[in-house]
Amino acid sequence: MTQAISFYFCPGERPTLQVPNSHSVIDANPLAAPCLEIVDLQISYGNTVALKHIDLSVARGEFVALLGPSGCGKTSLLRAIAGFVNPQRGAVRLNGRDVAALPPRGRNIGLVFQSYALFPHMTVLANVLFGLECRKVPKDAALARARQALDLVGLAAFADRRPKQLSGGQQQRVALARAIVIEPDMLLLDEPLGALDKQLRVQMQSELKTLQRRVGVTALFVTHDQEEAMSMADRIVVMRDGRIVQIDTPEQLFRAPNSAWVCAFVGAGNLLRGDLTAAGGGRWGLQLGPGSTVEVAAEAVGAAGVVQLPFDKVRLSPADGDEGQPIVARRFLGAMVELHLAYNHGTITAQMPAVEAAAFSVGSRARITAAPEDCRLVADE
Amino acid sequence: MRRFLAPVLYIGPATLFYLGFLVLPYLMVLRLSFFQYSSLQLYIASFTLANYTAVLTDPFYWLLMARTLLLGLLVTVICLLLGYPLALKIARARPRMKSVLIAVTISPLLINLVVRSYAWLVLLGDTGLINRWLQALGLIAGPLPLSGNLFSVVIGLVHISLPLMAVSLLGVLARIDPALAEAADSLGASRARVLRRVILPLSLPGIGSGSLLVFCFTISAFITPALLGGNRVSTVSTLIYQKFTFSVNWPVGATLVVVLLLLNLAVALLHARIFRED
Repeated sequence: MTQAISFYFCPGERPTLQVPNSHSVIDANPLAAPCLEIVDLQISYGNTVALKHIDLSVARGEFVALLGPSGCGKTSLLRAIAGFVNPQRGAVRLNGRDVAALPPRGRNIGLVFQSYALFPHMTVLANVLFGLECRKVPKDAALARARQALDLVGLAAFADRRPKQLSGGQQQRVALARAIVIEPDMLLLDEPLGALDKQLRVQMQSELKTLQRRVGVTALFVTHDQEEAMSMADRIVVMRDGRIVQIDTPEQLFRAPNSAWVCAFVGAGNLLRGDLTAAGGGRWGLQLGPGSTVEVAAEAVGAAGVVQLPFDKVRLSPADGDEGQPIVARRFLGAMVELHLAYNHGTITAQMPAVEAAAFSVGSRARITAAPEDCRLVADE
Repeated sequence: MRRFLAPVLYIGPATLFYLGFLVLPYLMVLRLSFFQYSSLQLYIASFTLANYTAVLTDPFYWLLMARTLLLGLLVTVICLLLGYPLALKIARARPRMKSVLIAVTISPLLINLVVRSYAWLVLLGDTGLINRWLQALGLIAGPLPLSGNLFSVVIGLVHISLPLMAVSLLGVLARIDPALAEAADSLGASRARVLRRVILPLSLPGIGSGSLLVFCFTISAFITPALLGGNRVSTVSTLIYQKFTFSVNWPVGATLVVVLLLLNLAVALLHARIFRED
C-alpha cells in the first residue's frame, strides 16, 4: 500500500512522490544512486587538521546520524557539506553533482541549526517563505507551499506569530518547515534537538523521524547523544578525532562495535581486559577473579584484544567467601535492575530483570559467567 | 532605613554633581532667556517673551536652524554610509583583528578637538599640504577652496562622529547570530539579499541610536564649525557663542541655547518613538 505524499506541492513541476506506507525508502529502492557522496575529504584550519580521509555515501531517503564526542569533527563535516567550510582535498557530490566549488546558496540544502536561527524580525510564515522568495517562486504558489509545510509540522495556526512567541519545540518545527519547504536535495541538522529538554527531545525524535519518512528527504544529523542517534538513524557514522571509525546500522553498531572505544562510546557493553588463556575447542578464557571466568570463541587472539560483554548478558550466581566479585552498587531502572561489580580497579555492569536481581544485594558477592556466544573480542583502541 | 539609604549612597553623588553643574546652569540659562536685553548692564531681570518672539519671527534664525539641521543630516548620512560597511567588517573580523580595528576606529576620539581641527587646517588650508602639492604638480593654478567652508566643516564633523556611529552599529551587528546569515545563505539568498532582508532590518536599532548620537552631537558642535568654518559657516552653536561674546546679547544667546536644547530633545523623542521596544 502506498500513500501519495502531499509534500511536493507543485504537481506541474515535480512528479508526486510515492512512498511506501510502512517501509523506509531505502528498503523500497535498494539500488538508488547515492544522494550524498563524499570521497577522501580533508579539512584543516590553519595547522589543525579537523577532518581526514572522510569517505561517506548516503542513499536517497536515508536518515544518517553523525555521532561523536565534541571536537571529533562532526560539525565540520556537516558544514563542509553545507558549503560553509572549504575542504583542502576531496569531493562532495550531491545527487551526482560536484558541489565542492559552490557556495551554500547554490547547493539546495535544507539546514536546521541547533539555535534554530529563525529570523526574529519575520513572522513564522515569512520565515518559511524566505527560501521560496530566494527561488523566485510565484507568490501564490509560494504561499500555498509555505502553508502546507507549516501544516505538515502542525503549526498552521501559528503562521502570523513571531519566533519569539513560540516555545522551543515549536521554533524547532518552524526551522524544519523552513528547511524542507525548498524541497532540498538533502536535509542537514546540527544537533537539532540539543536545545530542548529531555522529555520534549524524546517526543521530537519520533516526530522528526516520522516527518523525514513522510517527506522522503535524505537527512544527515549531527549529535553527540548516542541514544538519540540510535533511536532516529537508519545508519550511524561514528567519528573520532577527525576520522570516521565505524559506519553501521544502530543494531549492528550496538552488537558489533569495531573497537573498544566505539563500544564504550555507544555503551554497547562491558569491556573486559586481562590475559586470555587457551581453553580448548577454539575458545579462550578470561579469568575475572576466583570463580569468575568468561570464555570467548576466536580463531586468533591478538595480545591487544578486549572482550566485549553486553550488560544484559552478564550472568551472576551467588558466591561465598573469597569467591566471585563484590557487588558495589545497585541501580533501579524500572523493569530492569543494574548491578555494579568491582573488577580490576573498575566495575562490571550487569543488567537483569528486577525479579532475578532480588537474589543479589550490595555488599554480597557473585560469580560472573557468560555464554561464549555473548562474548566478542574487539580491538583495543 | 537601610533599604532606602543604600540607593541614595550609590546614585546620590552623581545626582548631586549633575544637579549642581548641569541642571542648575541650564535653569539659569532658561531664566536668562526670559530677561530683557540691555546694552548697558547686560540684562535687566524683568520677565519678557521678547527674545523668543525675536528669534522665532526672524527668517535669519529660521534659516540658521534649517542650515544647522541640514548639516546634522548631511553628517549623519555620510557617517552612516561610511560607518555601516566598516562596522560590518569589524563585526565579522577575528578576535585579534577586531580589537585592532576597533582601536583604529575610535582613535579620532583620543586626540584633542582643537589640535585635530588645526591638523585639518594644515592639510586643507589655502597654503595647506593638499593645495601646495596640487599646485606643485601643476594640476591647479590657485588654491582650491578646501577650508573655511561647509566642506571642511563636514569633513571635520564626520571625522569625530564616525567613531560614535561605528561603535553604535558594531554593538548591534556583533549581537546578530552569525547562524542567521548562514541560514539565509543556505536558503538560497545572495549576499545582497542577506544584507537587505536579514542584517539591515536587525541592525535598525543601531542605525537609530548611532544616527541620534551623531545628529545631536553635530547640531550642537561648536569647536569644529568655529575653527574649520573660518567664521563663514555659522550654526546655532557658533551664533550662541557670538551672542555671548562679541555682541554681548546674553538673553538672545540664552534663548538660542534653549531652542537648540529643544531641538535635541525633539530628535531624541522622535528616535524613542520610532525605535520603542515592542
